[in-house]
Amino acid sequence: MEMEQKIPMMSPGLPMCAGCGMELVVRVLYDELKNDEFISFGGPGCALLTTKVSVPCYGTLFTNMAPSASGVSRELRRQGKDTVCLCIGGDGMFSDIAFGNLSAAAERGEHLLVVCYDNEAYMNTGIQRSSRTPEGAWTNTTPVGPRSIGKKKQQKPFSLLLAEHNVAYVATCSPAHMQDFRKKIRAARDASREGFAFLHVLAPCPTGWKSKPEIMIRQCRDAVNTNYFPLWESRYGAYHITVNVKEPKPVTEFTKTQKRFSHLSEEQIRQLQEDVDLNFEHLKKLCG
Amino acid sequence: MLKVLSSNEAAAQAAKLARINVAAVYPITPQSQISEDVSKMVARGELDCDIIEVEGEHSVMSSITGAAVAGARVFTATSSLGLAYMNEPMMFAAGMRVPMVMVDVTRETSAQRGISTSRQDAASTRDCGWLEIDPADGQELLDSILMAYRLSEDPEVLLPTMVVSDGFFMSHLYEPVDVPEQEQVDRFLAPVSERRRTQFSDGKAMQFALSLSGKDYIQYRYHTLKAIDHVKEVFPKVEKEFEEIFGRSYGGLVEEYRTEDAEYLLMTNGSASGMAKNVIDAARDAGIPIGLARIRMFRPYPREEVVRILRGKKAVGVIDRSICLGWNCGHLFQEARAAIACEENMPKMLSFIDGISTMDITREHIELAVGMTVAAGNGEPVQETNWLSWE
Repeated sequence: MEMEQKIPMMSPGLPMCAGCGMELVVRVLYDELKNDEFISFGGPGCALLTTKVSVPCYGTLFTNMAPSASGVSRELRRQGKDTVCLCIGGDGMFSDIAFGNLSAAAERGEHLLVVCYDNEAYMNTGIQRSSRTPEGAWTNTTPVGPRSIGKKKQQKPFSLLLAEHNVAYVATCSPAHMQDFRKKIRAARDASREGFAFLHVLAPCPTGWKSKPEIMIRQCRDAVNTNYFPLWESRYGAYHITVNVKEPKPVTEFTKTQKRFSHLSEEQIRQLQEDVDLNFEHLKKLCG
Repeated sequence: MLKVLSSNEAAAQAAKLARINVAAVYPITPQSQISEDVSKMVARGELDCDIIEVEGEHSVMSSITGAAVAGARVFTATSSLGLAYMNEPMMFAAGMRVPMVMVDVTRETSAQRGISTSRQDAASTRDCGWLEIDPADGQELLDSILMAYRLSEDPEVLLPTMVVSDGFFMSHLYEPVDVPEQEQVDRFLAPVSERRRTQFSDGKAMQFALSLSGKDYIQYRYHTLKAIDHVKEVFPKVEKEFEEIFGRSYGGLVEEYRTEDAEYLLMTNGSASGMAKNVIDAARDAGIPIGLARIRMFRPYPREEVVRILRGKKAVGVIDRSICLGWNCGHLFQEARAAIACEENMPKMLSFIDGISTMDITREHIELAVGMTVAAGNGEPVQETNWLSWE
């Protein structure tokens, strides 16, 4: 279909919080896909508000975006179309409640372009912990008090688990590395025409992270520069780091701008740094 | 062509004859054979259909809903806790007004497994917004699946339909089934692409299942209710058309058997109905004026029909394979009783719970129910709800 998009596909009047990472992520996604036939899948979460858009939208349950989109994708392909099926959901959806059927869609090699905007907690319901909440971070279900020191466990290595399905394409993205992000969107779009593609995008939520909205992009850059959120891609299990950080900064560069980390003890910070280093070593091994 | 088929095989034949485009499969006893048979039909090249091999029933329902929204005629089958697991996307599918057909091969749902029959699974979904047809044997199951597509895809209906088959007592029972010719089915059931319906179209920013609140939301609920109600008008027409092509009919929303001059009635659904008719024939021979009302459509509930049939009778014994836990009665009983609640000249009603797990609804049990129903009709004191397996 020929569709010259002069105006942005998202309404300028969206009711997101100032500095919303997700809003930028979705805006960039739509911009990169503007010349493609695509259907946007949204679930309950802040991204459902992006249904105020000029593209076909399918609202799913919190629990069933990947299988719903699988059904749509199968039927469209049966009709001979190669419509991009763009699934947009947060970490609560994809890394927690619907991880099982996302994994199943990956295993089946469904023709989907799945994008997880990761703000590291359930933000839409009011800041509760998810499996992507970092160790030590405050949320309303991992509060800080005499008998609680924030989240007790490490983040789920979510994108690596999906990449280990040996699917067509998996990549991590940061809004601070826009060229890298846009290139990966195009790569994922193309890959979704031959199989399953997944983008894991860090998307700060100033409301939930208790940080200043105006430094959202800087936080994304800090996350990459500290190796907290390294940028890599994998095609059918062949890993490759796309943004090399020559001299990684300490993880405190990332944590210090967010009040959700402000209670961390030196021991907790040491633990967090150790985890970041170990995770990065593991990634380097995968990259060979 | 007359074949000897189990109800599971008859269901798979119906799906093939309906020329389904997309099916989702996931195994669960006693339904698994349907999923296997449809997959094998595709593998043999007899059916041009995309099979989605999902990881659970929740995704079964989600994926066929998606495929239906994109324009496919879809099919699946499930049982028991599988049906319970897909409850969430089932409610969604009805809310999205998506036409589809699913066979539920009934099975118990409680913690003690009881991997045998019971209609507790289907009964638990009665307020999901789905249509429910309850055939009594393999032939009627096959025919009902074809009719279900006509109902679901009717532009004034657009709702999902569940066709219920009694686990084991139908699913694994082999009976002669007249499998229609494809040409006949094609005359009855137009390809889905020829039926006016809502689906994604190129270049249009259409939106499905988005957020509404207040009156806008309530309006959708009300329209759904109206569409379900409208089925009471559509179904008899569909069945008449079916009869013209295939020469078979089953009596509309409620099948009546020897009811006109009856003073007493039994009420059943599903596979127990055949034996109930036998018992009624024997009772008639013994001079007892009794008949049978078989509920063929549970959603929408045919309340007007039930009131008409029950009016003037002395007593009605309702045999249920499911239990309203917390009330101690069956679902058929509860609904029939609600239907006649404010009507005049209505019978005494008794609830019989039977046929759960491996217990059959036997001739002896039904005879017991007849005896108690007649006694109640004659004013004798009879307990309202009776569990026939240990009376």
